[in-house]
Amino acid sequence: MALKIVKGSIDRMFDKNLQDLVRGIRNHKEEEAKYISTCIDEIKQELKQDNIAVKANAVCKLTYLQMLGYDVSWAAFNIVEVMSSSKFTYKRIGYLAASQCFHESTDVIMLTTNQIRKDLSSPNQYDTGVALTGLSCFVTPDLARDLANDIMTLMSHTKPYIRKKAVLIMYKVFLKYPESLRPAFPRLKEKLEDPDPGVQSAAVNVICELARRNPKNYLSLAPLFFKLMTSSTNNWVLIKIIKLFGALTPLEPRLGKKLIEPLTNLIHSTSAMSLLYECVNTVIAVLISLSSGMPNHSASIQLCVQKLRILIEDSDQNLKYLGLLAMSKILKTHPKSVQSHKDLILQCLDDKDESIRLRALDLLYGMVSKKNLMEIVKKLMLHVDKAEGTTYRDELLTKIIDICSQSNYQYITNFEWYISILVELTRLEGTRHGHLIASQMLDVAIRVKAIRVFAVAQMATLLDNAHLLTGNVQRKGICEVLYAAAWICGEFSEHLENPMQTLEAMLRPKVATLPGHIQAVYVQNAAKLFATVLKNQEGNTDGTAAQETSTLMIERLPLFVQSANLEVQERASCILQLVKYIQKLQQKDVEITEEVIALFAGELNPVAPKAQKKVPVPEGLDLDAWINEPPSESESEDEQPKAIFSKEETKYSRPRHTEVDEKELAKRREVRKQEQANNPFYIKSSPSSQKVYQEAPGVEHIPVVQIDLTVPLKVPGLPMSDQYVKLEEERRQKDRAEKKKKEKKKRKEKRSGRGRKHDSCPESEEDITPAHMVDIVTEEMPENALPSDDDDKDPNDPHKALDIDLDNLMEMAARRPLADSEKLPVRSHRAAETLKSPADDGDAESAVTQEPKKKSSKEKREKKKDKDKDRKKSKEEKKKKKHKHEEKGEDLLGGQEDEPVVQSEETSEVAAPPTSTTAEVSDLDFWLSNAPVPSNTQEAVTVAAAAEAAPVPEAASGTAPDSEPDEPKDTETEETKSSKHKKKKQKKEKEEKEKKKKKKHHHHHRHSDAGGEESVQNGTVEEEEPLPPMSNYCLLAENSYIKMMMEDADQVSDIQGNLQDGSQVVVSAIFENKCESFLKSMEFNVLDSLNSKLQRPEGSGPHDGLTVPFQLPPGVSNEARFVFTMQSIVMPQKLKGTLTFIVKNEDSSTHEKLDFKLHFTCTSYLITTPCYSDAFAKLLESGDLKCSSVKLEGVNMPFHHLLARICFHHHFSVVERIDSCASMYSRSIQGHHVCLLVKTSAQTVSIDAKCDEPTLLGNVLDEIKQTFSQC
Amino acid sequence: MIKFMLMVNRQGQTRLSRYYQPVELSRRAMLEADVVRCCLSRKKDQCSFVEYKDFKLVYRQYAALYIVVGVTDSENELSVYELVHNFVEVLDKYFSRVSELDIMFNLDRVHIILDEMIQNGHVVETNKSRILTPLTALDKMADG
Repeated sequence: MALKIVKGSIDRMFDKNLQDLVRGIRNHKEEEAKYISTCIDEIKQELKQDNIAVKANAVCKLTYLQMLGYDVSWAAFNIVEVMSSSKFTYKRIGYLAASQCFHESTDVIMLTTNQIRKDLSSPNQYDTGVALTGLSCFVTPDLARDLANDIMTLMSHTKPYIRKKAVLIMYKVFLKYPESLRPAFPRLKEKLEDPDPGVQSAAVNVICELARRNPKNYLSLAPLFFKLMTSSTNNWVLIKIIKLFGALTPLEPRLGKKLIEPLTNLIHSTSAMSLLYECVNTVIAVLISLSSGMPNHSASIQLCVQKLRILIEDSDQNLKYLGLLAMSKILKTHPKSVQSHKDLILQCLDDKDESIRLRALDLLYGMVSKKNLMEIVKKLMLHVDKAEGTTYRDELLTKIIDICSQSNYQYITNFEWYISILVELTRLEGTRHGHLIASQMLDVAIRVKAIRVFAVAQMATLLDNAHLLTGNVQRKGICEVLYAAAWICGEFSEHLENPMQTLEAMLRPKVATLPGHIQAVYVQNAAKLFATVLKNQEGNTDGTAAQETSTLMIERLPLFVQSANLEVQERASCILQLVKYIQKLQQKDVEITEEVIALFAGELNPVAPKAQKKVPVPEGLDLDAWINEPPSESESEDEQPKAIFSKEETKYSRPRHTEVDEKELAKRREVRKQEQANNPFYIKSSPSSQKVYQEAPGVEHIPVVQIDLTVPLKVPGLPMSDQYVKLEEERRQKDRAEKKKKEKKKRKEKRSGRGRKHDSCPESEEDITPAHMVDIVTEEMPENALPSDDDDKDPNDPHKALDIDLDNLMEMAARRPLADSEKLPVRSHRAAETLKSPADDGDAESAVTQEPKKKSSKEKREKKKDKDKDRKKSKEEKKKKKHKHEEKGEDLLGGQEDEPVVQSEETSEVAAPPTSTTAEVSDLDFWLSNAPVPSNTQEAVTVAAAAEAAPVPEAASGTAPDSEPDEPKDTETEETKSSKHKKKKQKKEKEEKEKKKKKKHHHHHRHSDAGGEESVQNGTVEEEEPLPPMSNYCLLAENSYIKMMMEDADQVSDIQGNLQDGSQVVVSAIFENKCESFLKSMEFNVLDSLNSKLQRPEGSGPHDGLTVPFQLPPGVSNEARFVFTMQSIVMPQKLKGTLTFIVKNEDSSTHEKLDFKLHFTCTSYLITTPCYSDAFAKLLESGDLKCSSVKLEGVNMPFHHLLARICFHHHFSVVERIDSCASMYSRSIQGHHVCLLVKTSAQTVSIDAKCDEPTLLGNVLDEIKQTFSQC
Repeated sequence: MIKFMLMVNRQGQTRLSRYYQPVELSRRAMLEADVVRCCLSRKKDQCSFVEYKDFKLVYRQYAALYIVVGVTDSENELSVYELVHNFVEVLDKYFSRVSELDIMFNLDRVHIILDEMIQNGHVVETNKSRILTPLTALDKMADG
């Protein structure tokens, strides 16, 4: 035995180790394969030995060979042996080999399960570490299933080194064994807040990766990530988080709004380019997901563009590349901002690096205007000439065409120039895009009538010089152009100067070498030309010329008759016979020109791609009906044995007809569209009204700009596009001069003008007139086309413009939140810095009206409010950082609110992705809802306690009345001081949890008149805010135990079915536990009035309270919803109520109660209902509305703020806004229409209102007045 | 995420390869050759990011050695670019002035370093001393 060991170690000494192997391979360069095969033989011998050291050495060498590409799978078992060595040095070699060589189908993996489990639980952290690392490479579904639990345990290992690795490998485990996600997720989430930054970062990595695939399920983690983002200093982690947010924002635009600020801060502050780049990218994503045009966002866009400019200007090519890449993302949504950097981008076109040039090219697309198109294209043409590689040149070519043809040739002022460019492009060698050029030529020639003369001349030259195009084998792609040239020359042959010459060119024998489809076009158009030639010679008394033409045709056509291409052959023989017949007639001196011309009479008009679809189905025609009765099933079966080919076909095709259902039809339509899109004869987009130049009478007769023929042409007959640039310049200058003259005249007439400015400024887009009147032909539509789907809306329809302007806001706001079917958007807290709120209002309300029964959604909404409040509070606390410690209010980002609710829900949500639970969504809403509110709340207008609290708005500190120990006016000064003490004590005790606590602890101070003195309006206006945040909740009542907030009565009414018998109003109240004790058995009761009643469950008496369906642990808030029934809604209402509850301590429990007053304003009976301007006008005309008006003095706010306020607080939606005048609309739950016309001048706002219920109107106006008197 | 990391020299010989997404052995050779060709053909004044098929390559050249990282589209190119440098710095620290030979002869150690830095295609650690801790512990173990 001992001898064996000695022998083994001696053997080892002579064995090659890895270094020797590497050296050996280097020394045997010529016969590497041979050398390696001997090495492999040696290794095989080594592996047979018992000595583990020898084996490990062999495996180590194998790993190297595997890297070189040799298959070492035969040694898999030996690798497992080495893995199970007890010595770490060997073990790691085994694991390394396994991680490199094993894959899912390696069968020995199943032998490793127990070994790996043992290693995972090894006391040596490196054993565990190496096992984890290895596992991450070769984990299989079986391993994942068997080891998931072990790894999960490791996630809570004491050593961060292990935790970190365990967390990361969980991602792989999730992938292989998805069932593990659910149980592991809470722990994973916990790791986001691990004290060790490495573990934290690992958790972020994993969740980011998971979330990128299924962003929706991880929206609820947004608050947590937000917190991490603002607190982390690790750029790697930040990048990940920011990337994650980039994936989340499209799902939740409100998140985007919230992100803008911290992201811009980061952009300003960071020095790390990678982080900067990521921030910019995410900001772009956010802005894309949000609607554009919000004023404060243009600043963000500007910032991004500026930063990107810095990147692009950098000498580092990498930054330049990335800058351009990011820029192209902005271009899609904000082309204007990018346009200003045209200089820079053009500069990048000259870059040495092709990748950078390509990126710059992408950007150019959005940079062109009428003014600079020629200049840019000229530059690109230079590049085309210089470009060495064909790929880059092809790219340039397509870009040139893209740029020119975009938006229906919007930027082309001179089509002659464009045709010249196209012709010049045909000279490119080896391009694959002949087809593209051809389709452009066809499109332009067909649709721009005025250009046909020129185009035909050019095409004729092209045909004449066809040998230049076809001569080279390399140029195959380009001969497609001849297809277009031949067709244009034939179809518009009346414009040809010398049709005979062209005809001759088209019938050259060389043509037969062209592809079949081109020959076919040649033949067909030769016939057209023939007709034209005949016509031209009509006047000649001598018929010889005409006969010569016929002879030419007869001579040349047989070449095509022999063509292998069926199409060519068919057309050629047909035309040949025709010409022969014509010749016969000619010889008899019969006048046949008319007849020949008639063959090709009539003009082909472009047809709109949708034209076919729009053909109305004639009455009585059932397209699905059978034309013939289908053969019965049995019959066809009987026939089967004898069935001949054709019969079989019918049999198969018929049943298919029956299966044509909606889907199939749609699919076919799609296919057809596709086909049409690819067909050059279909004209794709219809030009919008602005773009179509007015058709002047007799377009054909308008003289075309004279070409300066003294300019030497490069190729005989081929135009140089450059000359057009010069010509265009001159023309524009002339235009400008003329305009100046005119303007001077005008000025002379007017004398008092600001014309000078006009004069000196460079010509604007509109100043550039097209070179000649151009008529871009619109596509034809069938008569009495069906007015079909929305996208077919007539671009001339004036309503369309309105649609965008007004409903833009509404639609966008409405669509986005609703897109997520999981939740209902909330009206009240989508606080509004801008006009957005009315839209939000609208959508929330409409959603509500649509689904009045959905309880869960209501709850969500309420929770949102709840969160909103907390958020505001926390923000306020943030501001008062000095008092941070006393306040314990640091849950700035809502992490805390999440805790109780989310965590419980999380697990279920993760595993069942599509149905994320309502609570979660609502929690998120909660966090997000007040995103745009910059800080603490201010006016709450339709508040219950408003009346009482309004006179002393500073009496308490808004939504955080509890958190201001130094607030001298606070009515609760004493209590807060005492509570401060308490808190300090608590802080010592629970330092860890401090962050999570936000509640204050007032004790033993009950207010006798909670409803009166305590209920406070969130009315601290002492802090200046740039934009007025708005909120609809108010503090209803609070005492030392509990705080009650009420969202202004939020109505749900069954408008469709139940208008007559009054409606329901829903009140959401947030209960927040402020003490350290448990609150339970809460009962909510209200004294009913004649008009309004609290809805109680059946069987309970009119004075019974309603049990609040939850208990409140310390520091937790929750929301409950109460339904009231209203008889009349024309008057505001006040209801008194009481909340009773039990405070449970460890040792005792006491009964407590809290009084409050509910205030139902008339506004709260209004529902934001969107209204279109035409409907609105009808309503006003109807005449059954009563009028009333009110004037507000000294309102000092921008008009859109004013509107936003009305929208927000009073549930109106803007119907139409023109300058400082706007019409607004709302509707009560009982169906009263309320229309407002708001006008502002100086500081006076006048509101004219109409409503079919004067009392209601009066009250609403009073309330509006009050809203503005408070600000 | 990171799909793979390669170290190749000018001659196109692979010095280190690590795949974070399974790739068949036969395909690896082709992929490596293609990727290397792609990067070698680029000049110094060209940027270090290449769009390659459906993903991106981030490469960096150190003397005759190229480090090429294949990343998905969603990865931040610059951060990967930095990561590569970080990796080389760690190697430099461990081998004190690392050379191609160091990497060839100590492939297993380089792998350990790499595994400490990247796992699952994600960056785990960037702190040099923390990355090297397991390795130095191992070296001590081997010595002792």
